[in-house]
Amino acid sequence: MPDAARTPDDAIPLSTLKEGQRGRLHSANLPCEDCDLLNAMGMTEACEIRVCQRGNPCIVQVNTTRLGLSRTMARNIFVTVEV
Amino acid sequence: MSVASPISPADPASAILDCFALIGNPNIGKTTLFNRLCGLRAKTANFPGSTVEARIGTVEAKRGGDGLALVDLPGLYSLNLDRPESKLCCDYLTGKASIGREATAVLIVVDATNLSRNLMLVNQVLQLGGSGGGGGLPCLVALNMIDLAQRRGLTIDHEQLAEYLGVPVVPVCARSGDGLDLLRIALPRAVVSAVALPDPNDSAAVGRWADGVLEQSVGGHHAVGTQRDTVTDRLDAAFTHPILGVLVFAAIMMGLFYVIFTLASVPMDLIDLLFATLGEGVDSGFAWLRDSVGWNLADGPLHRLLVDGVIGGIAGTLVFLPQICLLFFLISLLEDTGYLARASFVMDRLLRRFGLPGQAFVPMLSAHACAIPAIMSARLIPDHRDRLATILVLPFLSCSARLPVYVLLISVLFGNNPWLAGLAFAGCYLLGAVAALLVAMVARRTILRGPSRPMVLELPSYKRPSIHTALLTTWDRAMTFLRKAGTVIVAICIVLWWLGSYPVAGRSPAADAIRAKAAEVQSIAPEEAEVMISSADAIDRRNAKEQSFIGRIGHAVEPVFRPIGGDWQLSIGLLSSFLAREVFVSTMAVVIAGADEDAAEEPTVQEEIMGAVRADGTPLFTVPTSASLLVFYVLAMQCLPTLAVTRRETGSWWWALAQLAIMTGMAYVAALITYQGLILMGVT
Repeated sequence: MPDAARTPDDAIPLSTLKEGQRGRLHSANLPCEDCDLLNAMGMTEACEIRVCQRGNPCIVQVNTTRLGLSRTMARNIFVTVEV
Repeated sequence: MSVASPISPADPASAILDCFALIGNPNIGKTTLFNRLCGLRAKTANFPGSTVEARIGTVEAKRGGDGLALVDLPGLYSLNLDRPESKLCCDYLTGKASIGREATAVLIVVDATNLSRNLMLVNQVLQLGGSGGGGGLPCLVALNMIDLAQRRGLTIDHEQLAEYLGVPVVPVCARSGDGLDLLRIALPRAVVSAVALPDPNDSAAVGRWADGVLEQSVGGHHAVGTQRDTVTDRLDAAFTHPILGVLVFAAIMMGLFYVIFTLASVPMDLIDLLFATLGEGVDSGFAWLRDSVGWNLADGPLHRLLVDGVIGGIAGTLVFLPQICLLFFLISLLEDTGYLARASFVMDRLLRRFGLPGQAFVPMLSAHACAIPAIMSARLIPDHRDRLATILVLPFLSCSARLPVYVLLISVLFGNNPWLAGLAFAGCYLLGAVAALLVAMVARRTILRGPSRPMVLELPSYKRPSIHTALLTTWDRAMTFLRKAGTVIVAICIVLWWLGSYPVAGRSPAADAIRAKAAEVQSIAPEEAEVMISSADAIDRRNAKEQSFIGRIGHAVEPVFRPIGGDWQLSIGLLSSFLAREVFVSTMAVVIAGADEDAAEEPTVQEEIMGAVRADGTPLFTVPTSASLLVFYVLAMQCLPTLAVTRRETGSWWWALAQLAIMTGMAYVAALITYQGLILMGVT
């Protein structure tokens, strides 16, 4: 998963997406071990993420995997949203 | 269903596949599959130098022959993660770590409803070097939850999948048992994959490969991919809501607590009754030996060792079982429903401020019944530092063994005021909880310093829990407890008995004088004589306890406990209860009232204890002394069996001793401040 040292202007934190909104994973500003874990749990590069619930936890769905993320984690994952 | 295999049956001259490592992602039914294949024919083993466990079972062989060993490895998402279980599993599969059985093949369990994610681990395992250094281990894939996949509209061509993976693929449904017979037959046909596979370290290449496999092998996956599940969404919204989620959680935990605390008392009482009857049986046996063959061993060392030491020790171990069994049964059910993962987030908001994870709440709640199963249940916590911090503080929470002590001391303090007595009770529980949270907070900033990992958990689907899985999990935990901790607890109880029974004190002159007077009045006033004899026996019991090793140590350490209000009598009680706190009241009953230990709960005995005096004639249980003792018992680590379990669960005596030192130090200082503060205020 690429780090977020440079994010394009249209990549926004996952925590800002509304419920039901979908985005594509762009990058993450997290330690390597957390990125590796997310990758192994299904959050691979450019995967589609649907937000099921905002807040803490932020619940997202990636394919058929449902993940609960703390607010801290969701703030540091960046996605691009198709308009 | 059929077994798809791209390779012809294995060459008879090839390696014998007699031990399969079972590997797969968490929450995909791997344990259910293991339980189905092995049943009760399983035991738990630890990786050397670690608390990471694996279960080793035996799969009954079809068509005769010896059974196969099956090693259920911890669920993991990837072999390359910086986590203990990932490293240990990788080491085990490459022959660098051993748990008694070396894997000769791998059974990879895959979730048929989530194939793309599972393929990452499959790819890693297929390319993992074998212990012989000649390439990967022979593998076989069990495609689990096939029924669920079909219900969701997925059609999986497992023959095509086998072609892509280069190993046999068997569709199964572990919950219902479908496909398991075929799986047993297929196990010997595991092979080393010979197809071209992507580099496991190139996530982009692995992703493209997985997508390609999905396109060719799975129909309907595009539609299923990110379908919205409104029922699950609504349940998640309720269970993780800041207010409703907490209320639901509190209700479920109150129910769990109620069941553990109350239902367990029935089998616990039965165990006590069973072993009391057994003890009486041994007494009768010795009496028979004396009367029939003239072997007068009754009340001798062998008799007392059997009854008070061994039988008492075994009873003292088995009495923990009902709470352990109930706790793990209920946790297994809750976990299987999918609720516990949601509940972890609810409590994480609160507990994270004190350096503890959300998953710590279940152990913390069950510690109010008994710390031993609570410490064992801390295995739910994935992060090593979080788990250690939780284990370190669990004994602060007021367990049921402290209740008799609380009752005695609060009676002295507020015997005439039920409201204040109730508040004092609640205060004891609150003090323990506050101490636990504060020590956890300090520990996470000092000896367990390290960043708290932001929480990320897979939220499994909600489903009906499996009673079968819960029962097998309970059995496994109970057997592990008896094998590992139970032997230590029996030994501790025997040592405790010995310290309190030896050296044997002879009859005291004062008691003999009373008996002589009783003999004189026996014919005139038999009832009075009986009272006098009971009084003489009480003096002898008191004398025996004082002359025992623990009594002598009590006298020697009296100066240590004097600043917190103790004298030699309380010193004996405090020392005895360092081994097991529940013996405090019965020990005081013997030391002060000369009563039999079994009579400790009788009202008359309790009154005698509360009316005890010091050597100078002043009351022993004054308000400052009682308050100081109460604070001491809330905070002190007074349970050697708990220390034994801490040692086992942390893999080190260091943590057990640290726990003892921290709790004892805090208890003494708090008791000192309480006693001296009340004395300074003029309270008597």
